[in-house]
Amino acid sequence: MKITLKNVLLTAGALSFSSFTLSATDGRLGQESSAVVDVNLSVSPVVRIWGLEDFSFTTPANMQNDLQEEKAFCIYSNTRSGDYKLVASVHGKKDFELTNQQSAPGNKDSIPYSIGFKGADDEYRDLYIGEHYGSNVGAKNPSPTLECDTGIANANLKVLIPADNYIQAKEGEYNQTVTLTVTPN
Amino acid sequence: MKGKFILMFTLMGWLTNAMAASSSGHHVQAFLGQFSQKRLYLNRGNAWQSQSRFCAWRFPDNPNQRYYYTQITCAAGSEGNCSNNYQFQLKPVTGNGQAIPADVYYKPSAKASWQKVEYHRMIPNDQSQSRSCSHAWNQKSIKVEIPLNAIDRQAIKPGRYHLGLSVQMRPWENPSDIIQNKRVDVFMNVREQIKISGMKDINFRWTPGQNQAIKSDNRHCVFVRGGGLYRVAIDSQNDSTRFYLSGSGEKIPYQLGYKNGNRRAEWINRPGQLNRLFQGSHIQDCSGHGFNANLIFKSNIPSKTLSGNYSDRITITVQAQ
Repeated sequence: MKITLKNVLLTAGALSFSSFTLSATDGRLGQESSAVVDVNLSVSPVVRIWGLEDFSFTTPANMQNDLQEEKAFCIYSNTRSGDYKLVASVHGKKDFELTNQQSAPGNKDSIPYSIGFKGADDEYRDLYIGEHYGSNVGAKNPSPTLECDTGIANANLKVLIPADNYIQAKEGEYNQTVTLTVTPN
Repeated sequence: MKGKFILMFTLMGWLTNAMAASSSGHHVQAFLGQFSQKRLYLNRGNAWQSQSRFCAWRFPDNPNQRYYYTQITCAAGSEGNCSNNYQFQLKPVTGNGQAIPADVYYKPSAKASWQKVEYHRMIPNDQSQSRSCSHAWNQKSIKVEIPLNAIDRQAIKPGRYHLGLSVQMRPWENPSDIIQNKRVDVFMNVREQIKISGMKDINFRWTPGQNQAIKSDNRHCVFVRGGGLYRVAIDSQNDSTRFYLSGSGEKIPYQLGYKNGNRRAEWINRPGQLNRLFQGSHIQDCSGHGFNANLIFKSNIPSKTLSGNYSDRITITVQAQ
């Protein structure tokens, strides 16, 4: 039995542009003349989440071991505090639950599982769909233009499928797509 | 009371001449004088015309000879003020400007209308009714104005300009004679003037992930009277030694380029004066002709720039050369 957990990761920026006031002034007519010009640059607060790969499990032959895997990924924020909020969502479900796509309609087999999340300076916390988790990018705040590798990763996700949850499941391929969204906090 | 006294004094002034004429024992035959001003100044307080009142009469014992011609022409030594196309003109005394056309008008009595003067033609049928300057027929006026529209006036190069006029009285019966001749000098001082206009603030909104190189053109107008050259200096409010945007505790360096016409921009990355001289527009605010100068801003925003607002205030000072 193959169990796949696909993660679609989105970047979300909370946009709070400042409005510019017009203050440029023309010079006066005279022997010399001066104009004043304001230069303004507004850098909007944004975050980026990237570098997380899919989780993929295959049940062991003895069907007794819990399935668990941990992956690192990157979260960048350009705010001074580096704080962000993360929320998980899935399509059409209220729980983390892998579904057998080959089962007959209305009779889908499913396997509950759990996801743990850990920010740069956090301990693992269990995620619940729709709940916001505050965290911080930490001192490593990765450059958003680089590939996310273990050298710059600053967040972790851990997926746990207890043996009790899959031991009764029918053979097949089970999966679920989870979306993680971060916003500046 | 004070106003009444002044009025009487002025009247006395006009009458004094007539009385002096008769007290000598014989009649003065002709008079030309009492100019309210013999030096006319143009371009003062934006007035491009100036005028002078004066008195003229011819009153010989023979009443048939009261008629005379008036001719206003270029004064001796100022013949160059009368151009070949019969146009009066002010000639530059200083500076490198060109001759400026001037129209001269004459009003033959206090109640008459202005008539344009052609320097080569005598004005006929001037006549006198008495020897008194208080008589309206004897109260003449001369007016000089620059027949240029506002745009063409702005194109006049700085300098001092002059027109020497001769006001002549010629007898009707023998116009080749000059029986009275007075000089009126017209001056115009055109100062160096410059104005920078049309500037707008330079605003950017940037999000990490976008192109880090930002650039902005800021086209504007630099008017220099006569279309002369000018020098540019740029100052920054943030620092006197280098250009940067400041905010959120960070500094983002930038460069400024200055461009004029089709020439390549001159770039500076610190406040100060630019090396080159630039050509000014001869039209104030470049109205209808498009801006003639461009202040170019460019910067490269570091990818990890913190969110927030960054700014600087720059002052562009232009000076006519």
